[in-house]
Amino acid sequence: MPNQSLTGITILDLSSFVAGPYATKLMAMMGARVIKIEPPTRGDVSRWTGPFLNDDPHPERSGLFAHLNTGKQSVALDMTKSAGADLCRRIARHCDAVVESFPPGTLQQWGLHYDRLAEVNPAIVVTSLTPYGQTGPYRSLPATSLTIFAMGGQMSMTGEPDRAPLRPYGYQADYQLGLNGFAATLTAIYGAQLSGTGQHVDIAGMEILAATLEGAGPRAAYAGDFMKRRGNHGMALSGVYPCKDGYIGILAVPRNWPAIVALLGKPELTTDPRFTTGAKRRANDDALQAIMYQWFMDHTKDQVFEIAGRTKAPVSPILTVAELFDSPQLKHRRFFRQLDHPALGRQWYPGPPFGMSETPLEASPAPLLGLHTAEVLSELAGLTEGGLAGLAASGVIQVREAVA
Amino acid sequence: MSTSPQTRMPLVGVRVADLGTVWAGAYVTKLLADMGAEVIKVEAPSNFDLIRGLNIDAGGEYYDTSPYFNTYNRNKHGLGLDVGQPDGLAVFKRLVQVSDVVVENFRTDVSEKLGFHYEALRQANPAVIMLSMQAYGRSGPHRNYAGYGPMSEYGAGLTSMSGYVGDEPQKVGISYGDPLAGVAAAGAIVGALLYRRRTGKGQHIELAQRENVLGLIGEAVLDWSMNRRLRKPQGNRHDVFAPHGCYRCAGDDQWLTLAVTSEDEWRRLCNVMGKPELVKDQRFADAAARKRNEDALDAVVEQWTSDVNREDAFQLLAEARITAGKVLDPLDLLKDQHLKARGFYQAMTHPAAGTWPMDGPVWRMSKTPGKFWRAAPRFGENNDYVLKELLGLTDGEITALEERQAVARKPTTPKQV
Repeated sequence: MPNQSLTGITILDLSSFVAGPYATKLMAMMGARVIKIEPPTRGDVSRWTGPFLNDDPHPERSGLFAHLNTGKQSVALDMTKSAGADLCRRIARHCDAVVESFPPGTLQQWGLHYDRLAEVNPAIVVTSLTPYGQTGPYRSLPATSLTIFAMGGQMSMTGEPDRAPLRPYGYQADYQLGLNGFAATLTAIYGAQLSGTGQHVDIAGMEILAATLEGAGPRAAYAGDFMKRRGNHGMALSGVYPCKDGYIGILAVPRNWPAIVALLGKPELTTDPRFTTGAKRRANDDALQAIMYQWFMDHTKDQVFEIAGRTKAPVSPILTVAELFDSPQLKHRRFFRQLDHPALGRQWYPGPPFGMSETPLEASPAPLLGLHTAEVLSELAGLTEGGLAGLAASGVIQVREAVA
Repeated sequence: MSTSPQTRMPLVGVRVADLGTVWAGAYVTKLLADMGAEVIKVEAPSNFDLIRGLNIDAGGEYYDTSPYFNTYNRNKHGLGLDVGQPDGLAVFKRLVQVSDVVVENFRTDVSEKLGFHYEALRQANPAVIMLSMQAYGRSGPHRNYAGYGPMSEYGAGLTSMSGYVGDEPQKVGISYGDPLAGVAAAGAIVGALLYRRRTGKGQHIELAQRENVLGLIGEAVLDWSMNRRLRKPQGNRHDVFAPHGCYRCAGDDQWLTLAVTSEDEWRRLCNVMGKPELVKDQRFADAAARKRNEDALDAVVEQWTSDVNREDAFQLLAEARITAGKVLDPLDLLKDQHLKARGFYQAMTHPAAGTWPMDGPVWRMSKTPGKFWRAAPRFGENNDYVLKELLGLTDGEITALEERQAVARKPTTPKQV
């Protein structure tokens, strides 16, 4: 067994869709054993969410599920039945943490909430990842990544000032919640190892976003004002510009001005009275934008990036996913990894978000639904073959042979 | 039932020598400090953390008054030390000897020139955990390129897929890669602490901010790999469901988001809008039809929202259990009833900046809730604690370092940025 940072840690993953699964995916990459509980037959809702291989909807061919569940064990088990909840409690005796994303109060109905699990495993950590958290008037409201991006404040800052606020591609609010669930759960496990006592960790997507409004959140709280969203054209040194063969993006602070001058190859700007201080550059923003538009339109993405690298200008081409596969930097670092999945075949996946010199992160393909039901329940819940067959017959669990 | 109260915050006893700057650097150690770690933020007298100079009104010791700096650096200690000088670097290595973690996010060439190689730090402390957090990573042809949070979004595919339908790419309004690098790095550091607890070994963590963001678009990577599909900006719309967007309400720049994902939810929305006849409208008969006629559908929805107050609309939608969200701005959040009920904002008093409501720790731990235990450090505020108490330097040694400006209690060049 490779010695990884989380070797020996076991996670009971009751979560679904994006946030919780991303949290536990990272733990699995670091060597934790992640036991993913999925409803029999249907499985995690992300199995029914695209993109699908060849655009053909099938619960074993979702790219979303495949990405989010690398390295986990799938146990198909119906928690809503008391026999299923009992099996979960038996598994939880062996676990360091439980990660869940049900509406507040749901785990109590099944006897799987923190207080109940702590009776049999005092060191256990239970992390709840929800849109609004376990308390407060919004706690039971339905939500999606779009509505949380709005409620958390980041959407008010995104997009053009004279158009509707905008959310970015995909499930970004969910992913932000998931990353926090990952780090917070490990932190609570570390505390539990030292004290012998676990605890419940309540993380709200709305709060995660509201705590990360860059300078605007603190400015509003301190001074009672903030800068409205400015889109691509509100400030010369922030946003996206068209160039000869696509787009480039920039974000520079005042100390980067010499690097921007060097990027543009226009040393005369250094002494141009319109641009000698940050305040003057802001006052003459239109003139500066005009100069920059012209220069970017005369250059390709590759040219801009090469010059930016030399001049230390904080500028990057806007890369498409296809272009990422051609990036010399990502190639050099062997970032993308291929995994062989029985239903998806050999596909490319993003590599780990960080490297660890002593304990490298690794990934194996996402599990087929119920692939590990028998193995996990025999080992951690003490079920015999007869017991497994009985529970399968009554629909509490779904056992599946390894299939291709 | 054994539930003896756990009163120690999880990271009490973990000391972090923090060379991190700007938002990402501040965010990783903010999370650790909120959970009890002792973070010592090291800043050079001639080159303090640049966010001390952002979002402030100039004048006096303005570098101690930035709400931006003071929010993300609460609960930390401050040391004015120039690691670019040999004497300063020697002091820093003594700090490394008594620390568990070192955090740095210099540009790679700057970091290497300063001598921040893991091997060098490990000679000072064999069990040290070092985090390096650059835009593109510490290896490869772009290792020395400059980058802030938005570069990790531009260069990770995310921006290329974000924007209004049929229009140019748009960045997220915040420097998106920064806090997310901070969160992932905090998890990596605690993972390394767990490993060190088991084995006694430290290690070097390397986080390339762009690669961290790439994990958050993983399904688009799979879509390219499986189907060779490249996604274009689709505004606030969804691939399958409609209505799914952001709609103008009565008033100035007031907006509401809606995400309707079932037939039942659509029927309830028609009733809330006072247009039950829409249920029978063939253009909107099912999800596929609504998606096909999305422009007309959005016009119908906005006709309703534009006549109602955002709060009233949200209340009606909540009562009908329709998935909706207000587009709250930073001032709205400060007044929001839900965040108030959860005690999200707590008063923070800073000796140079005054008192204001600050967002509290976001990982709400039932037995060891995070808290504000000290205001963000004024520049060089804790020099005596670090140099005398932790490192045992004498007054004479400190004076000698101050004469060479390797150590300082005030910035030597308090330039306005």
